[in-house]
Order: sequence, then C-alpha cells, then structure tokens
Amino acid sequence: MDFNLSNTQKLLQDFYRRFAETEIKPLARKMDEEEKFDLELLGKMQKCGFFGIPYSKEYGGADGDTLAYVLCMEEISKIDASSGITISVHTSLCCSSINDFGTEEQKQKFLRPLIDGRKIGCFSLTEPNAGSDAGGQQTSAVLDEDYYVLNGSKVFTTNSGFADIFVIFAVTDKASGTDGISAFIVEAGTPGLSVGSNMPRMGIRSASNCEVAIDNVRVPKENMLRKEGEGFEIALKALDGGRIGIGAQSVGIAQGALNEAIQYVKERKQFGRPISAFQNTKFKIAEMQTKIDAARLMVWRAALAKDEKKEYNALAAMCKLFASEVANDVTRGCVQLFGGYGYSREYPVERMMRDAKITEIYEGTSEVMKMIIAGSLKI
Amino acid sequence: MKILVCMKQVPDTSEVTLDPVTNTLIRKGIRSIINPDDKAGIEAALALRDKIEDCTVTVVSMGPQQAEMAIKEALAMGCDEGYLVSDRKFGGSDTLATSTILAAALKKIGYDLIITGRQAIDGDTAQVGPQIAEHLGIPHVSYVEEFDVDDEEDALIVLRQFEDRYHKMRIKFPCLLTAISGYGEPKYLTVAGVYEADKKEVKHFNYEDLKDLLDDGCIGLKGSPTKVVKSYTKEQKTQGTLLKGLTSNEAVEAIMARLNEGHIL
Amino acid sequence: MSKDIYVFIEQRDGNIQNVSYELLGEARSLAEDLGQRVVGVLLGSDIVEKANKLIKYGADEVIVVDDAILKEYMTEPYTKALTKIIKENDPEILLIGATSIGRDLGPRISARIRTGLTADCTSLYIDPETKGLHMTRPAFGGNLMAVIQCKNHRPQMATIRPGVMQTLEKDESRKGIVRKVVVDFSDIGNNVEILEVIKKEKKNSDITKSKYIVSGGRGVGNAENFKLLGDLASTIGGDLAGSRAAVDSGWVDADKQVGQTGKTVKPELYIACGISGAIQHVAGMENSGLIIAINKNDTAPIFDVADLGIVGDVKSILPPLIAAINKAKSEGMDYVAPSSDKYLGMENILFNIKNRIAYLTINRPRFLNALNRKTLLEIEAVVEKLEKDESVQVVIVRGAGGRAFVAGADISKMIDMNEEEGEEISSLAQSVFSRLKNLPQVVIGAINGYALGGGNELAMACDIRIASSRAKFGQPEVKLGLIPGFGGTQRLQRIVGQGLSKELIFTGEMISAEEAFRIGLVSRVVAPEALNRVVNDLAMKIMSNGMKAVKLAKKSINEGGSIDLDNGLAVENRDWTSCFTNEESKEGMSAFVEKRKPKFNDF
Repeated sequence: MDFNLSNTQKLLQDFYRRFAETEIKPLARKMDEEEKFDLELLGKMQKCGFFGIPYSKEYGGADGDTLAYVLCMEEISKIDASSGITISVHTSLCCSSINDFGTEEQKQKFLRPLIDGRKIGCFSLTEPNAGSDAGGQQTSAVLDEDYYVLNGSKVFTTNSGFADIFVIFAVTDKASGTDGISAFIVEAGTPGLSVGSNMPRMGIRSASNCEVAIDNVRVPKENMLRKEGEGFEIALKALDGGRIGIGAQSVGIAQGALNEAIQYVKERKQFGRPISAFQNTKFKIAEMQTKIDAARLMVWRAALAKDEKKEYNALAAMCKLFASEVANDVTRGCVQLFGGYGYSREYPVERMMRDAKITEIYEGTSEVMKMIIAGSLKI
Repeated sequence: MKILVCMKQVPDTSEVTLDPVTNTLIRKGIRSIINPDDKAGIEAALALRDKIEDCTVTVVSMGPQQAEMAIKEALAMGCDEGYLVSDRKFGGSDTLATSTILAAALKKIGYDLIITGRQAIDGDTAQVGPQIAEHLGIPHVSYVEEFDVDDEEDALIVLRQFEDRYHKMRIKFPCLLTAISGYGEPKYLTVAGVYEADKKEVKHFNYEDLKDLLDDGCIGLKGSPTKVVKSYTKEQKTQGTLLKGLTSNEAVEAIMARLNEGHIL
Repeated sequence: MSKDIYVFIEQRDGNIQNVSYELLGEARSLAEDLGQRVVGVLLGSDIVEKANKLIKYGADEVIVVDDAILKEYMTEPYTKALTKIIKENDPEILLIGATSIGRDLGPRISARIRTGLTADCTSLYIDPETKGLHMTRPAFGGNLMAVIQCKNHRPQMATIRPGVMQTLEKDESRKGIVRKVVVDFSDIGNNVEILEVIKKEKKNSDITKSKYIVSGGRGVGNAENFKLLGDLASTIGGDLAGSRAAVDSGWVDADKQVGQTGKTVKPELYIACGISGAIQHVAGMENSGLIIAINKNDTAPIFDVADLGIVGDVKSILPPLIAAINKAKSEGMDYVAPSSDKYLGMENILFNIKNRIAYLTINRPRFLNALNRKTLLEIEAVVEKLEKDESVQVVIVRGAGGRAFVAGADISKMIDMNEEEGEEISSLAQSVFSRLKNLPQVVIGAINGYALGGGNELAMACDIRIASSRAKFGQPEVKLGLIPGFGGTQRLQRIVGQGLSKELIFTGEMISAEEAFRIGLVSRVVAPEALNRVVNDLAMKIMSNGMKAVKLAKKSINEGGSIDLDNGLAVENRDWTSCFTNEESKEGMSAFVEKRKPKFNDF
C-alpha cells in the first residue's frame, strides 16, 4: 500500500498544473461569461496529449493509465471544470466505448484521430425522455441494406458543438428493452445529423452542450459497435469509468475553490486582522481540506482498481457520490468565506460553486450512485 | 552534431515568501522547476536539432539526487539523453568550482555546441556559462536571444543582447552560448513525452568518474574562492508613511527623496 | 603584494557609462579604508581623451588600452586586455559594472586567473580587522541577502549593480596619471565575429517583467490625465498599467491590467495614481518593491500597502514630478531636496515634521556633512524650536547623501582659528549637543555613514544610535594635533568605558559599525537600505507607549548619568512618584488589568 505518486506521476501532475495555471486560468472567467469554449485552448490541450492519456501508443495515445488521467482531470478542473468535462466526455465516454468495444478497423479509423489529438468525440445517450432511465431510449435505428437509418433526438450531449465523432445510442429492437439498444459511431457532417445551439445552463457554461437532432441519418453498418443489442452494456461500462473522471473533476473543483479561499483569507482584513486569524476560518478550512483529501483517496482507489482490472463499478459510484457532495459543500463554504466578494464575479469561487452542482447530476445522479452501491451490497 | 545543454533545478523563486514572524525564507512547499533560462536553452537546442542531420541533445545537470526530476522533465521535452553530475565532494562549490566540475563532465561527454541558461533564478550570478567556456578553452557568447546554424553548418549566427543594442554575430563550433528565456509562447510537454522519458535512464557522473580531469583543490568547498559569510533576509515591509496637506512641490520632494533613498532610477 | 582598487570602465560608442562613475566613487571610499589607490581601466578605440574625466571622478590612475578591436565589446579581446593588466599589476580588488558586458567579462576573467567573483553586488565594505572585502548581494529573487568574501585569492572581484553606488562630485582639481598600455591582439582569431550592430527597439512589454510600473485607476479622472502617467512611465523607463476601472474606461489596454482578474506584478517600483486599492487590485501588486500611492482620498485602502502615500491630486503632482526626475537624471546626481520655507529657510540642514516625528538632516553632502559654525547655529535654532514643540515626540538626526552621517568638524575653517575662536566653537557645539541630549523628545541618531570627530560627538548626543552597516566611527582629532572638543572625551567614556574610549581617542582609528555595536556605541546595525525604515519603526514603537513616561524615563536616565547611585535612585524615586499624578499611568494599568490595549496618546 503506497499513497505516494511516482516521479513520472509527479512530473505529469506538475505539467497539468502549470498548463492549467498559465493557459486556462486567464480564460476561464471569459469563457464562462461568453458561454463558449475557446477553440484555441482546445487545440493546445489536444497538442499536449490531454485527450488520449489512458490509451495505447498503438493508436496514438500516451500509454498512460487511469491514475494519470484522473490527475489531469483534477488539475484542470481546479482551474476550470468546463475544461475538465470537455476532456472527460471525450476520454472516458466516447473513446473508451470505441477502445473497449471497437474492431481493429474502427479503432484505426476513429479512435486514432480522437486520441492523437486531431479530433474531438462526444457521447449521445440522454434523450428528452430518457435520463436516469437510459433504457427508455426512443431514437431508432433501422437497417437499410448496408446502412442503419437513425431517427430521433438527443439532449445534453457534451462536446457536441465541436465534436467530430459521435457515439450515438439507438434502439434496433424495440421489443427487447435495454437489450434492444445498439451503439453507432457517427461522423459529424453526416447528412441529417444536426447540432443545436448551446443549452443555457447554471454551471460549466463554457463546455459545449447541445441538443442533437437525428433525422434520417444513414450510418454505414460497419460503424456499429459490437453487435445489435449490445449498446446498453457499452453505455453502462463507459459510464462506470466516466464516474471516476467526474469524481476527479469534483475533487479538482473543491480543491481549486479552497486554494482560492486560502489565499484570500490571508489577504482580506476585517476587524483589523486577516480573516485567516479567526478560528472559524481556520476550522472551516481544515474541515474542507479533510473532506477533499478523503474524496481524492476514493478517486485514486477507484482509478487503481480499474487499472488493475479489478471490479470497480461500486468504487467508482462511491467516489463520485462522495466527491460530488464534497465539491458542492466546499464551494459553498468557500463562497461564504469570501463573503460579498465571493458572490461577485470578480473572484472565481462563485463560478466554481455553480460548476459543482452538475457533478451530482451527470453521468448518473447521486441517487443512481446510491442504487449502484446498494446493488453491490446485494440489497 | 552533439549539443550539450547545462541545466539547473531551482526553487521557483516567484513562490518564495518570507515567514512574517521569523522573517526567514519559507522553503517548504516551494516547487522545484527547471531554471527558466536553461529551459529556453533546451527548447532552442531541440529546435536546432530538428534542422540538422544526425544531431542529438544531451542535458547535463549538477545537483543533488532530486535534480533527476528536472532531467526527466528535460527528457520529456525531447532531449535524447541526460546526465546528473552529483557527489558529496562537489557540495559547497561556488560558481568557479561548479564550472570546473561541469567543464570536466562536458569534456567527458564530448560536444560541438554547449548551451547554458544565462543565469539561474536562485543565484542570479550568470557566471557558470562563461566560466565553463574558459575552462574548456572555447569561445562563448552570452545573453543570446536567438540563434541559428549558418549555411555551412560550421558556425552559428547568434543575436547577442545588450541593454541598448544587439550584436549579430557568427561563432564557430565548438563554442558555448548562454541563452535568455524569450517572451514567446511557453512550450509544453506532452503526456506521451513524459511516458517516453520514464523509459529513458538518467546517467550519472560522480567524483570517481571525473577525477582524472579534476584537481581536488579546485572543487567543492575547498576549491571555491568565494564563501558566504552570512546571509540575512531583507527587512520586512512595515507601515508606510502617509503625507497629507502637502503642496505639489512638497509632494514631489517627498517622492524624490524616497526614490533616492531606495537607489531607484 | 596585491594593491589598489581597479575599476573596469565601461564605454559604449565612446561614452563612459554611468555605472563606471558610480564604481569610481565606491572605489574611492574603499581605497580610503585600505590606504590604497583607485585605478580605472579604460578599454576602447579612440578613447584616450576620456581618461582625464575619470580622474576628476575619483581615479588616481587610468590605464588605457586604445585599439580598434576594442570599439564594440567582444569577450576575447576585452578578456585578454584586462587579464594582462591584472597579471602585470596584481590589484587587490577589481570592480566591474553588473551590466550585460560586465557580467560576460567578469566570469571569463575570474576563470582565466582563477579567482572568486561575486555577482551583482549591492554593497561593499572593508572588514577593518582583515582588510578583506565584504560583498553583499541579493539572491533568491531578492528575498535573501548574502555577504560574500574571497579570502585567499586576488583580486577580489565583484560585479556591482548599476545605480546603487554613489558618484562623487566632479572635482576639477583632482590630479592623477594616465598610462597607455599596448596589448597584442594579433592572436585573436576569427572564431567569433560581429556581423552587425543593431540598435534596440523596445519590445511590446509584458508588465509582469517590468522593473518600474506607473499604474492608474478611476481616480485619474480622464484619458487626458492618464497620458501624464504614460509620460511618467517613459521618464523613468518603466511601463504603464492600470486597475480594472482604468481598463474598463479604455485608458489602458486590457493586457496591462493589474489585479485579481489581470496580472500579478512585482516591479521594483510601483506608482499607483488615483487607485483606491480594492483588494482585487492589491492582490496583483502588493509584492512590489517600493509602492508609492497618490490619491485624493486619505482613507483609500491603497495607502495601507503603500510605502509612501501622498494625499493629493495626480494631475497637479505628476508634471512637477516628471520635471524633477528629468532634472535628476540629466544631472546624474543624487537628488537633494531643496529647502522650502517650511524648513525654516536654512541652508545646511533640512528640517521637517511628519506624524509627530521631527527629521533633522545635516545637508552638506558635498562636504560629507562636516559641521561648521553655521550648521551648528542652524541645529541650535531647530533644537530651540523643538524644546517648545510639544507635538513632536521623537527627533531623528541623520546625514544627507549616502556616504556620511557627519564626517567631522569643518577642518578647513579651523586652520586659521585663534585660541579664542577655538574656545568659542567648542562651547557652541558642546552647548548645542547638550541641549539636543536634554530635549524632552526622544532623539535617535540614524548613522548612515562616517560619524567621525564632531560627527561621532553629535551621534553620542542622541539618546539612541542605530547604524547602517556602512557606518564608520572614530575620534581622529589627535591625528590633527587636537583633542575631541564637542564632548568626545566626556561622552565616549560614559558610553564605552574609559579603556576603550582612550584607545579610540589615542589611536584616532576608525571602527566599523559592527565593532561599534560590539562595544555598545550603537544599539543596532542594519542594512543600509533598511536604516530609515528601522529608525522610523523604532520611533513608532516608542510612540505607541505612554510618552509622558518615556520622557520622564529619559530625564531620569540623563540626570542619573552624572551623579552617584544613591542620588540617582532618589531621582528615579522622584520621577516614578510623579507618574502617579498623570492620567497615563492610570490608563496603562487599568488597561493591563482589563486585558485591553491602553490608549495613551491622542495621536
């Protein structure tokens, strides 16, 4: 048992941190206000290899592991949660589906450009009427000679505004319920595939998150992942892994807000002394840091279990459940420490507080996490 | 062609703060980085490598074992090999002794071009580069902002910075340059590069490896002509002076007196 | 045997650089401590006629190497010439400006002759015991100061940061020799050649790297006024920046914004004009070296972080400030504040009062602040005023310019004195110093440089003496066939004891600040740049106490100094008793009992 990062992991962490501080920090507030992701920044992140961390060199990846990826998620999300989710959806939902379930041809054609930094991927599962109940899919796919013809619509598809490759879930056999769902790789620009405008949101506002309309989209049948009816399994597997990334994102948001607060309380003077001199401040910060550390350890444990090919779905659910709660508690606590300035947009903690909320919702709500955890306990 | 880049791992002095109570330097938790001018040297060396056939870039650092991290980072940036020069006997070296030891290591490795950063942000001496060149008996140009290999590939064309001018110069190999970190876009590692570096081994030189080239009287504490007698932190800032009700001329006097006192301008 | 202080004279296009004059001034003072000479080494092409000027600024000898190859700086020819001169002359010390030339040349030479080199020094002094050079330099981004010695190698080499040493007043009467040396450059190959000399264009600056910043906020008022800030910035060779309000108003570019949502800067000088200093702004600039703030509103929070705050209008202060800086620059001299009517119209001393502290500055830097009759009379006038001024609590006595506190009595004026005149000047000085000593206020001497003879006697008349590490003390009268006459034979023995007092007076030797500290002549030694601040802080600290009690204590100590213990105790008993008649002791003791901070003074 060893809680220490290796030299390579430390070097990576330092690299992620420096990138986030120099490249993302100056843009975060502006991107949030404009509700638009800076594509130049996206390009820089691609160039640094942030979009292919846990994938094999064989397909243009970095040959890293899940831990290296969660370190990235934390460091990037410390500064900007929107940048974090952009990496996360691409990496742990879109790419992992193709990596884990794609054929060699599919990997060469679609996975390589995704992980070597040329293309961006997204993952279209949620529908207006199928959220936590992902089995209630209404988008349909009908085989027509060499093509499946897809019809329907998806919502909350992160990265869809600039994605090149979509993994889309659709029902090929209505009668079979979740066993009738299939997964397709669809390229942007395919006729009939249209992406709406960015959905106005409370937080992670600069991430791209749009409605995707699917109108007679003809997808070559070789673009189906695995076989008909295996889509639901693919989605669940991707989401299991994704939750570790969201856990890391939550830790990052919390730590980022706390770092801001620690700096602020030393500078801000009230009643003739820095507010850090007040015991309430010290105690609050101590409590928050303790919670963050606990969450971080849970995230690392889940990441290690995944890397060691052990059962990790309950560990992933627990780390996300706990870390997302910590992110919300801590950001709220930090805004409170800042007082009025925390509520002002001049400081980033209000943004972090808004960003934190989504971590309790996406890639499975906290309630879904509890169902998974309870399920693993056979109750 | 073989390019050697000398590099130092330094504490990020922009993060160094003083303990307000004890007025001593807080060194704990300060991250170590590759000295910025040295990093510029590495980047320039890598850029040059891409233009010349059969060219390699080797980083050499003298320091404690933990400096291996900095060498790893340089390898992650794309350097072909890295050497750590480290020995108890080298401890306490001033710039002259350090340059003597590094010169021996560089000689051992072999070179056509040596690049060092202009100065390290912890010591700010800017001395080791020119001193190495002198020990090796090769010409050097310091404060180099840009350089490129000339058409015949037997010399470099460099831009040497002064306060008020530049010299565009031609310097033949073998030679040494001291590089200034530019104001350009910072170059980042890649995740894959970090994993590549993980596979490369950092080579080590200790006293035994270099002793045939070293005079014991010229290294370490004993071989250092300069000694730090004492060091102290600067006086803490205290409550400033607030002047009210002055005429403009009195205000100007007060400001000028303060500028003068601080030897500013 | 190594001897003499050598200074590398840097020229560009045949113009001697300011740093070289500064180094000659510093070398002069080191040479005096060592009893050696100052030698300038001038390398260049068609340069020989510039040598004489160096003598006027402090060189005893100038060695000139005049050769076409030395026109533009190149490492090898310069190294070769300088090495030859060092080898032939064996200097004790070699000083080089820490410029981009000096910091290239210095290390190359130090390696060639294998001696130590200390880079970028900000102060130098000679250890009085070993006669070795102590070199002080900043490290760790200026967070740490290190004192370095080079004990066993000669020359002791240092590069010195431009702008920190004092240029001497040009002295047309100085004489010295100019010696031409020929160096054979025929073996310098063509390994390195200059292809082109390009004069520099200023790059679009990044304010996080600026040395000086002039920054403005909403209080500047309008774009027209903001231009003044730009003028000031270019006058001081710095950059223009602004608060968010200034950026939002379009007065300055967004990439020049300082603060939470802008950039964090750490220049040596930050002049904040019309900036209120909200925490968002302060976060981006509070680590600047010297912060000067100008704002109309005296409660602006910027004043909390400013080293110097001026309550006033930017529009009316900047134009004369720009003019003053230009003037100071063109004269290349220390700026000495002209006396105004506020300062009682005196010639030889400056006197002003701020925050209940009176500053009495002996202002004859050209004469190392030597005391003449007029100066003594002016001090007397000020002392007289202070005796009646109840608003002033602390008096700080100091010397103008960087070199001397007071270097002594003005000897040139004493040569022709007869017995009567001699008696008169001694009586005058003794009476002025006694009145100073017995002022109701606390008198602190800030000893920034030489305190010799009458200077040491003036210092000893202060209640407390704080010295800069550059200060030197002594009673050298016997060297002139005199004895101390302004109180030295009496006060010195009461401070350091008879034995030490006799040694100092009989030998006439100077002692360093550290030695003065060791023998109890001064109570603290601080870095030169910190002296004024430390003294100010000390004054503030004293003033936070019950001033009535402090003054009584002073009286009690002063009286006790000249009487026996029993009578002294009676004095103490009397003064202690009188404490109980004033409100101050009531307040102090009740505050103690009630565990709160006492409120002693109405200021």
